[in-house]
Amino acid sequence: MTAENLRKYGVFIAALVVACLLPYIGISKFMLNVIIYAGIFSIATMSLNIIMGYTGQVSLAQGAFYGIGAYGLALLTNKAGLNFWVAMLLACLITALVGLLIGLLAFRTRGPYFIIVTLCFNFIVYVVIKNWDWLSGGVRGQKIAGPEFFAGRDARYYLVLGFVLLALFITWRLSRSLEGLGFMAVRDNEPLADALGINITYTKIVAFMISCFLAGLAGCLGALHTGYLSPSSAHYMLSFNFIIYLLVGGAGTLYGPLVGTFTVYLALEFMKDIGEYRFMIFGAILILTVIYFPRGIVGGLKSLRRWLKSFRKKIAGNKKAEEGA
Amino acid sequence: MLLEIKSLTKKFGGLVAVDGVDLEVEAGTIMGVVGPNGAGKTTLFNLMSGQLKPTSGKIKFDGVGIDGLKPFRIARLGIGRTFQNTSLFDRLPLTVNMAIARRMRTHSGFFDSLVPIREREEEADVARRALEMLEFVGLAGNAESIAGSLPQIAKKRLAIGMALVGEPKLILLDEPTGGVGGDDISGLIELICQIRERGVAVCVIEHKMRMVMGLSDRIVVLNFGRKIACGTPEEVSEDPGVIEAYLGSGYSA
Repeated sequence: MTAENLRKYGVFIAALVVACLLPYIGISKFMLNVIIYAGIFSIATMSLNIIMGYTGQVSLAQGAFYGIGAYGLALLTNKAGLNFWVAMLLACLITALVGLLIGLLAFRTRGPYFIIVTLCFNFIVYVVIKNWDWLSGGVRGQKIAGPEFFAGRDARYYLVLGFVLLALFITWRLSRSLEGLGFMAVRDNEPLADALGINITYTKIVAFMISCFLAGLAGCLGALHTGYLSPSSAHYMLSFNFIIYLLVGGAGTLYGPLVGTFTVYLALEFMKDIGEYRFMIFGAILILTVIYFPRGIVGGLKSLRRWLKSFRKKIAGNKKAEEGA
Repeated sequence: MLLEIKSLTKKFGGLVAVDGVDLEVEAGTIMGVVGPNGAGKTTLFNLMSGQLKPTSGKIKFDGVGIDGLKPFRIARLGIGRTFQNTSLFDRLPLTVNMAIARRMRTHSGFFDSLVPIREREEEADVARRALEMLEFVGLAGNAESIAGSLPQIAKKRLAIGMALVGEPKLILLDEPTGGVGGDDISGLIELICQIRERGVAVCVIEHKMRMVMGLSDRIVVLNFGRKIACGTPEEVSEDPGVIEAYLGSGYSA
């Protein structure tokens, strides 16, 4: 590995090593539990990143798709008696299919109207799950049993880690592929993308389906880890949470969703002692981020690095000029 | 004939922006579109490239009826265009702008991005063509700059390159020299002539009369949405109706 590659991927590799060793460095059960949830939610936030960060369509329905994935898994294993892994894949595909149907409808609108349509959809899904007793178990919820191997917390941790890496891989490939170019074109300038031969509706729907697939995946993992499902796993508050995680981390960046989810989720967990007051502090931080770091933590770090680079160049230039004189 | 327009009409409520215009563009020629402000030139372009749907009339491009098609379909059939306000992907580098403009000629989808076998080939081709086109429009030195940071003249050149990189048969340039200073204009004229040499037909909206007279093979003059003259620059400049309506009675060619 060259020095340049090491510098480029050094942080990632270091973080990966720490992540792999995490259950063995004396971390408390409670902490590991929190980290597993943060990992699961980070996948959901990555799903939002694809449709919001890269394609520019703010979806407030990710909570619904999280719930559809979770309930899909529960129904397919409990009612249809399918193998867990088959059920999980099917649940994600079903979520993507629902995304297709909703996308066909919702992408007739744009901007704020799209946000409202997706929020309404999330609300409907929540109400249906809460009240359709036969299907979902209503407010009593239902149990979900994963494979025995994943009964242990450590095993579930590695499972989630694996899927976080998968979601990262998908985002990474997309962000530098021809398909991803279309996403960014739609995000940055719809009329121009249209005039350049990019099918905007098709592009948005593809992005939305990928996004829904990942949200469904996060839902499946959430259901597996909790072992129990209630209507709150399709709550629209989840959608807002994902948006907050993404904004803090940095929309349209590879690591933004991961950084944002872990920062916000862990911070809120640590502040649990002060009860509901934590949301006041949190609100202030959110406002400051949106004003001063419109591209989130990762976007802020990126511009800081760019600034340092140009600063160093300037100094080097000055030195050269002095030497020359 | 590459492009045939038959009695094309566009009404906005009571206003008739384009009124029964007939027009033909031959492959590999430059057609100048002139007329006073509000004559319907940009509306005509928007009808040709699909941004607007005609109220009535037919547009046939390369033997295919294209009136009422969506812009991206028309772009794929081979009509490229630039916008009056020089629309670009301002936050992205020039190479990426070019790659996006080339995207419609590639086939890689989502699954190709995960298992990049076909994608690698297409990406290499896109990168090569993007650089080639940046060279053609004279921006190879700025390949990695952000499009939004370019000076106006470079933005104009980039927009023309983006319209060209998808290999259209016809491109529509909406005021390519708008907001550009004296020395840069001659460079743009040269570029437009080079586009014709590549075998691409050009329709160009232009206010600078002397420039359009020297550049175009044929000129169409619009006034209040109607075509009042069409022909070679000499024919048009001697047309009494044109002199009356557009050039003013004091103009002599």
